[in-house]
Amino acid sequence: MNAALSIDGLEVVFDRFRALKGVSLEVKSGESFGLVGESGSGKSTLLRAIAGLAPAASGTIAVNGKSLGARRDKAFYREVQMVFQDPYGSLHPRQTVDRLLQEPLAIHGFADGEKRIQRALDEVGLGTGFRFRYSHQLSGGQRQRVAIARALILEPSILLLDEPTSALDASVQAEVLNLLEEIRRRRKLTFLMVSHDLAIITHMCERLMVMQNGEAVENLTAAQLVGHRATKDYTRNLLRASDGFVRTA
Amino acid sequence: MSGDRNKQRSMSTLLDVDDLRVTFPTRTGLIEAVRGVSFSLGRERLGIVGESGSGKSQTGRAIMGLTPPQAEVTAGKLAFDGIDLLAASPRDRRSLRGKRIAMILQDPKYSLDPVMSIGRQIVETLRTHEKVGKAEARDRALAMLEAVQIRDPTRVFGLHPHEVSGGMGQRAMIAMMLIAGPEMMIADEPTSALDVTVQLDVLNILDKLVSERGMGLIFISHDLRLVSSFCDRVIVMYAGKVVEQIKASELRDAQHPYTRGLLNCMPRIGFERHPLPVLDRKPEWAA
Amino acid sequence: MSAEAIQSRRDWLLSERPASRMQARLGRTYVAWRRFSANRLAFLGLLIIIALLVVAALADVLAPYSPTVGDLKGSRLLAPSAAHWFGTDDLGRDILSRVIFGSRWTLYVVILVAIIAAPIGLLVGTVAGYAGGWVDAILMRITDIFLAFPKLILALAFVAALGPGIENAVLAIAITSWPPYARIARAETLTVRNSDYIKAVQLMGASPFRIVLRHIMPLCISSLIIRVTLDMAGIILTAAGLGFLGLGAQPPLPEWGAMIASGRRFVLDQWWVAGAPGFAILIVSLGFNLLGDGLRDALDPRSGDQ
Repeated sequence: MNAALSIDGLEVVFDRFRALKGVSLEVKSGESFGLVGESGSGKSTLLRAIAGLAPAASGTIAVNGKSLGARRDKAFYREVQMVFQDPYGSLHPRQTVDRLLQEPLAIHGFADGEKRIQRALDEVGLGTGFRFRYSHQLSGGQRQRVAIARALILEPSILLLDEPTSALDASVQAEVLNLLEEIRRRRKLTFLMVSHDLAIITHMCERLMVMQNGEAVENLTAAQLVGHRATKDYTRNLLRASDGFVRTA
Repeated sequence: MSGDRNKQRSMSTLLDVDDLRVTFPTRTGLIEAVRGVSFSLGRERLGIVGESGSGKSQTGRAIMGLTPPQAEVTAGKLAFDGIDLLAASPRDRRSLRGKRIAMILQDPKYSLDPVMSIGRQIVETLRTHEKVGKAEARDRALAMLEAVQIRDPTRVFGLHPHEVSGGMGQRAMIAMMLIAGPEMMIADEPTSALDVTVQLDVLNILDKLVSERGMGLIFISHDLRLVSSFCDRVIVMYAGKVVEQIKASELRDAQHPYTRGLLNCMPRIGFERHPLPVLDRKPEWAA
Repeated sequence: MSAEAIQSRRDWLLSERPASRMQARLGRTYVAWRRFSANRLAFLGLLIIIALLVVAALADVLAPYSPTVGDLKGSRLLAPSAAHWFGTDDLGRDILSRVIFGSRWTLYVVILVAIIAAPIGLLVGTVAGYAGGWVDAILMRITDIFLAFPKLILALAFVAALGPGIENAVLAIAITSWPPYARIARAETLTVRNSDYIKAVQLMGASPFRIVLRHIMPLCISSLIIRVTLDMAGIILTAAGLGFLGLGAQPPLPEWGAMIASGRRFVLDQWWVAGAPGFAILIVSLGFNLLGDGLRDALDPRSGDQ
């Protein structure tokens, strides 16, 4: 069995509000899978439920064939890591890049920290010049690179990406997307990527799931979407909207 | 037709900006956020596009007179309908704001008063700018809410800002801004916080209002593609300067490498490019 | 040092690309210091506190007479003069010397209270804020009980139970002054506990203990330091109040509050007996307040991490 991630009938409930209503999903090992939807569709909640940041009310999540309980153990975090949407909120304001990258190594008891930090910074295209900066001394794109380095330093096999570029300028977005693609190729990672932007998802992912109001609308391959072979009206609407404004005479 | 349109534009120039500069004092010295921006606006849709730090928002704020007090605004000319905005008294500028010039910001949550119902805010705005009776103000507010395609205006009239969705809030905001019948509107990222489908609804409303009422619109955004599909003309800003002014329809033939790079670096559905082309920023662009 | 050397040192401190952990930390400290020293009043406050430290350290050298042994025969209740700058008290002791030695007791009280109360408050507040649920409920209700009584009354009750004396006064003040710190630390914790950077550390597999200790506490410390500094004046006054009521320092200890208490009997005729220690309390309280205000501007995490 080569499913990196399989989710079955996942429900998440916040104060009686059903944020996820029984979503099932399978991501193959080495695949890049996209989740698309508008705000409130539950796409980010799904990601957070996998990471253990949102409580699952029912349903199962399995990583590399191993079913997860309510609590995640340390081994899980070495398999699955996450990159957050807001690069300004995901780095501790009082820690240097060095300290941020050291933390996961200290928690998991790695001895060769020095080398790993160096390598992680090189891998995301930040030289040593950035190592002792505080996050406020970095631009948005640089922050997101640090966040990616932090996620990679434990050498996970699955990366959860929660709108990793939506807070960045278009030119910086291109750089970060290229970086993510390159890392995936080099490390043979599995991606589960959330975005509201169909263009980004079709660029980055092979398959995708469209979500609305906590439910899956449909599963597609990127090629099907590009070829306008979506079967649901909702997906077609999204696709049309992403073309930009069309003046109705 | 485009010749006609140009003639009409030049006949009714609403806003004339020449060599606009906005300077912020900081601990380490002066920072010029806007460095000599010049353009003019007729009754048209003008887009200002740039990335963060390009000075696009500060340009809009300087025109509105909403620059933070510690910053300094200078210009060779900054005139709205012949009125010199820099020489106008704070009181005159206040009465221009809202009455003849309106502004929409990105997040309606921060621009609407959270403790006052939407309807009352619109009525109050109207009554500060025009002498109208309560009943008439209410009728006009309801009509305005209808004009921004709110289906049940009487219900929304009584709601507070936190009770409506982002798209609805932005529509209410537009209604409030348009109630006094401004001649010019500055919209600073009016749809960036909204979902794509809602975004298009809001743009549709703006579009209709602009063409029906003959308003001048300055549309400030980071999204070059969206702006070019919506506006007649686009100004591209980089590091506080205008690097290119171009007709939206001619954007494909943009000359400046920054504009071209910005257009190219976004992923597009149906155009596979791996890796995406990235911008190679040249220092001389900022010079 | 030449001007260039100073300039290059400053550049090193303000470098955008620090080359080592040390340089990053020093640079950050330097920026805070620049912000602090730009505030003249805060700087005055710092000078007052430094002066207090110096006086306390060098009390033996600075004091012209013994603080406890007086000349009952020849020098009772003398007015300020060249020989006795602040005059003498009813037991013929030189008041200047007593005020100088009293600075030691003031520092002793202030430092001990800060060392006991601030960590308790920090721990209770961060744990309550991060854990939430019933842990939060229990810890905060205990805090509320302490907050329900006026500080001085509660301290009085504790001292009455423990017995008078300066150590017990310190303990009583410490026990009554941690709850506000717990409240501050909890409020601060609540604002950061749901932030992405704490979520990110959770995703590293960090234990709750580690998160509180290494990621949340450092964020609470600056507002706590500010609050403690601003409270110093109140602590001095409470200690003086207890001393005044005879429940703090016992004679013949030259504690400022106790000195005012013994001087109050002749405050109309011999004003300097109560006046000198009163003035000392005023100056030191003012110093701590000014310092606290300056620290608030220099350390406040909200005022931009520039």
